[in-house]
Amino acid sequence: MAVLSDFIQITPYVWEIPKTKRSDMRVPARIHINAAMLESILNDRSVEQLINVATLPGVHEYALAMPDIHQGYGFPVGGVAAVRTKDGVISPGGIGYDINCGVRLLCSPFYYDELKNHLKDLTQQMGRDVPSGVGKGGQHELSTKELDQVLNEGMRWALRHGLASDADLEATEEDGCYRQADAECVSSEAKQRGSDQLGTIGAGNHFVEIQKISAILSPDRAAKFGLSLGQVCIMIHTGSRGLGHQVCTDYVRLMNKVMGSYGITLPDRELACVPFHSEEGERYLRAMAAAANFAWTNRQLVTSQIRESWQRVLKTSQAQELRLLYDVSHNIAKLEKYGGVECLVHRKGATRAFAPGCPELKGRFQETGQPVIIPGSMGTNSYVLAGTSQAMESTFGSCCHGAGRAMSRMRAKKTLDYQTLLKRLADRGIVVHAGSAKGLLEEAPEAYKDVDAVVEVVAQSGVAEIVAKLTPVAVIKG
Amino acid sequence: MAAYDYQFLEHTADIRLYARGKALSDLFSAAAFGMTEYLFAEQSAKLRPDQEEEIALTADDLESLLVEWLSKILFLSATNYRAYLKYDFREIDERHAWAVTASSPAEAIREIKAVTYHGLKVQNKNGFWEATITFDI
Repeated sequence: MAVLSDFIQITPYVWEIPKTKRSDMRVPARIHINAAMLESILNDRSVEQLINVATLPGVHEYALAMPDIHQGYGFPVGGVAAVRTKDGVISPGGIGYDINCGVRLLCSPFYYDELKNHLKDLTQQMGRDVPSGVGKGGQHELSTKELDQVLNEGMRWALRHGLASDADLEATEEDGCYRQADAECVSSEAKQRGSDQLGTIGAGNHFVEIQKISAILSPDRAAKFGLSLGQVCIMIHTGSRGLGHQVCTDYVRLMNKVMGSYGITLPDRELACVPFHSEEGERYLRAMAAAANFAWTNRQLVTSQIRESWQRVLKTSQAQELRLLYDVSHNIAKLEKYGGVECLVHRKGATRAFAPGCPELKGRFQETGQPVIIPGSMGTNSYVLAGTSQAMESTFGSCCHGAGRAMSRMRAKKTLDYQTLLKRLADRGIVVHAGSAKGLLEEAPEAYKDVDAVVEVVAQSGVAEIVAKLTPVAVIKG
Repeated sequence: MAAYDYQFLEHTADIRLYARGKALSDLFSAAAFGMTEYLFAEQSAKLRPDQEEEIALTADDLESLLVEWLSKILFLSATNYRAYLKYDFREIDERHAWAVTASSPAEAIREIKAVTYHGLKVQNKNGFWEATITFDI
């Protein structure tokens, strides 16, 4: 395990393990974090996992981790690796099993005071209409042909079916369609696992929350994002469900089989990879893109369902105006250029945070930078941040993705009590709709790092600017 | 003691399962039963299997074979909405497994996204086959 003396402090918020630490490192391993949080991650294997990432062929400049870093499998969660396409690899484990897991924020035209008497009804209606929990199927069971269309078209499929607007597409990374996608590269098993899961939340840390904006920290950017104090918003956190899990399983298996033939040896088989320019690498990119399209469409169908639920409860056409601020992906790889070098940037539990002026950003985001949506743990604050030029220079345009776990689920269940947790949430005026007591307990705020501290680090290190803080008022979980 | 046993270990974000058995087939049964118990919790003790299915797998090494085996059971559980509770191994060696499984209709109460290779090593120690498997949840 790594110790504090292995690190060189580069700035108050940037710590680095030099590449001389282990002979197989190709680049240093760098963490954006403060001293107290760094000490707290030395008790598990997250740093060792980041060092393993630094051994990947073609990894550019440094293997990177955000302050919400915690132990995963293969890559640590909170990890970023920009891998050169010219001489580097593509690694499914660097993206994770929940391909394009991500978060979106819908802004309502209402203030908290106008809605507080409807909160219970809204929560119950959303709980009924949006399927959540293990393996719960949605309302959209698709034929093989339709599923292939979703995989190839992403949110454009939803647009064609009246389930999305042009504005929804513009407020999503890649306009909700990863162009390299090819449904042919996705196995029939993966399609089978996903066929009835479109428009569903799933279990684990996924959720829908109603939140109110409790602080505005950058008035200028907030105004441009259309955010104001007391406004009610809805946050959706889910991914590509069983389809994405199976795509990753299939390609980790394939890459384990063939990577030896490319002369690649790694300290952990979960990092299995092949050259970006190889037949298997190309097929995985296409399959990963298809799973990403599935995830964007999934979040879009949940959005469309929520718009209907609100309309049903509030009986006003205003209720349909749940405007999508932005949809961010936190488990994905994208082709981006840094210093003129084309890289496949693997983000596993990390969010893209592009600066003003980046050509990938549309409309007003050109001027403001990309909205970065950071979900807190259940019952704690969430944040809207904005990308900065500092992120482009020091973190491959990346930022943290959430609070990050600090306690195992086993320990959370042993040390915390369901009734106490429910009471504490109720005392703070938070309405809860939960499918499983165990599930709720495993996601208790105590099991996570302090999201306020995580966000403080990215703000202090300059990779994002805090725009608004949001406080939960209702939680829907599987 | 029983021919096999298993135990869940601490992991910050995911779950780790330590499994062991006298024969290789016992280790594979222990790991599959542990995973199934995690997915279906208390109900798994009460369920009565009413359907049999054959699973035949090949892999390049023992670790891959174990990942393949568990991934297959996970896939079947998720798509058929059934708990796979019994495993009768007809053949097993380092690269092949052939088993008849028995399952019962059931709804999982927890989710496993995938079986990972992370730090996985299947080894024989003091007359027992053992492995620690990390699952992404």
